[in-house]
Amino acid sequence: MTLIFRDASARLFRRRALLLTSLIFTIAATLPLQAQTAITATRGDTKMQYMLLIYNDPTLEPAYGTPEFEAMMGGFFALNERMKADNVLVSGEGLQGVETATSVRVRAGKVETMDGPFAETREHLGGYYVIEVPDLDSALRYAALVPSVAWGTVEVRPLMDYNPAAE
Amino acid sequence: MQSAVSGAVAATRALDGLVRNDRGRLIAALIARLGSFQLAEDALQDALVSAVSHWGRNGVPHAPEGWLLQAAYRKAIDRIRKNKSEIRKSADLRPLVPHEAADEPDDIPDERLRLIFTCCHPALEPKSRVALTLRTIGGLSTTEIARAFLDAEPTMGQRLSRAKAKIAAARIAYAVPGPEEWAERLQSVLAVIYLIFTAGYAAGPGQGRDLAEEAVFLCRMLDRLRPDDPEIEGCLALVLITHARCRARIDRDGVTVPLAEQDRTRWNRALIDEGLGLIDVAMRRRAPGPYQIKAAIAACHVQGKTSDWAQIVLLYDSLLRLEPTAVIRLNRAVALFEAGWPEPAMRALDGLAGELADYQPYHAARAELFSRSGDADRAARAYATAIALAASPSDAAFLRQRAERLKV
Repeated sequence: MTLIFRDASARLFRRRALLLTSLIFTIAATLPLQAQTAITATRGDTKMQYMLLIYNDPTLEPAYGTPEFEAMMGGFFALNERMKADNVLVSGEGLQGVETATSVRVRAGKVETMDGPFAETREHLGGYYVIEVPDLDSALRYAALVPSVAWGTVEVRPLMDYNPAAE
Repeated sequence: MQSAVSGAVAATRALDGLVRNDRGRLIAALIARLGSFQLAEDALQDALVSAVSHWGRNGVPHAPEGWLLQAAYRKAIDRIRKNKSEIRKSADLRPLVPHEAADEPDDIPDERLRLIFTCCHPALEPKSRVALTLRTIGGLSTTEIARAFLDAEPTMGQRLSRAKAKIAAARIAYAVPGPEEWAERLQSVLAVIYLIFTAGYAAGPGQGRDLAEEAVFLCRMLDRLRPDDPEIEGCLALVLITHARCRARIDRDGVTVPLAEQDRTRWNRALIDEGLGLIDVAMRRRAPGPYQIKAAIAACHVQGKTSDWAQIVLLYDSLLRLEPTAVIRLNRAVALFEAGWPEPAMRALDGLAGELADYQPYHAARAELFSRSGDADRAARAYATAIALAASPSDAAFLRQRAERLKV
């Protein structure tokens, strides 16, 4: 989980990953059924889906066990509940840290596999939400509620709408 | 033959006037109905073309704006129908259908407030906000905007298309923000207007559209559409008071004249009085903001025989609390010097050397302060740097004159 890991042993690492994943991002399963159906029904009509890509610098994250860490967790919790109550949450997941990342590409027919993330930057993708809201302003309001915006960045991108039902 | 020609001339003249005065309003109403910047622009263009022939033949209609709006709706429907492959054709047509049979409206609702908030949305690049505002509300051509911002025309065209495409793709709302976001979003709109004003101010009144006038127009429009907002009043006061000095700030040889040396009889008293009145009204609303403070500073320069520098220092102090930027610290330092505190002024300037290394006014201010403290060598060096960084020929000419004076 890039959201929190930086130092620490593998065990602590795993524990945190488990913690965050279970606490923060096991959302899809608990989504109200009504919301899940609404997503397919309203897509491309009056509402629009946006992905909130949660980037941050792992070295700036609060350490596990500190009050700041608790505050962050509480913030994610509150945001999840808020988005569920507002019926806008489509899905969301947390990612394990970039030290677990493997990148793949195919060049001249050959698979090249590399250790590490696609881009070596200070801020890494740590997780995402997909929400369904009427417009960009609404999406930006939710993005500003992601606790890690206080030290990281949330990129807001509209999802593509292929609308295969159209002529 | 004669009558056809004169009909065409009359039609073209009526259209010219309309496009100049009402294009923004028409576009705003069209976007509200059509939900697309690009479609609205294309449809209005089609409607203007057909107006030339219709009006030329049958005379200018009694409600020309309504005629154009109605024609543009029909052209938009034609465009959507023609473009069979366009996704969600039926959805695009839906908002139009109920209005198809409607008569030409005499009274077009003014949607420009929504339009300006969309054009100045912080999700767009700052330069694109300026360009889009000038294009859609100001009605400037892409060529005019490109010239004003020293861009190649295709580059500016691409910038505008990108901005419009993002508004559509990311679904930036065509809406006036609610009370929660009002203050922040308004600052973004006022920043665009002020940028347009300073671009016009830097270029000076010359060829093409005067951007300073354009900014005054936009600010007046904003004040009319959302009356009683102290920051809008502050911004309008600021541009009016600054604009009032435009005839006095460049001399006959095209050289910039500093405020203290300007011929005050050449100031536009009516604009200044209007600006001062606005500040009074705004201040009484007891909701201070950066534009009200900047307007108050501008007022300190034009009231009385000379600028009230002590008061200006205090105003910069309060402005710094809202906008702690290096440029404002520079202005405060200059005000300190003028108010009779040269040592703290110099210390403050030294502290800004890193941040403002490429900022011409910083070097010009240092040069002026050195020269008045009798340090001709350092003044000369600072003038040389400032001249190399000068944005306009008038400014460069002024700085050269100042540098020359050191030698006497």
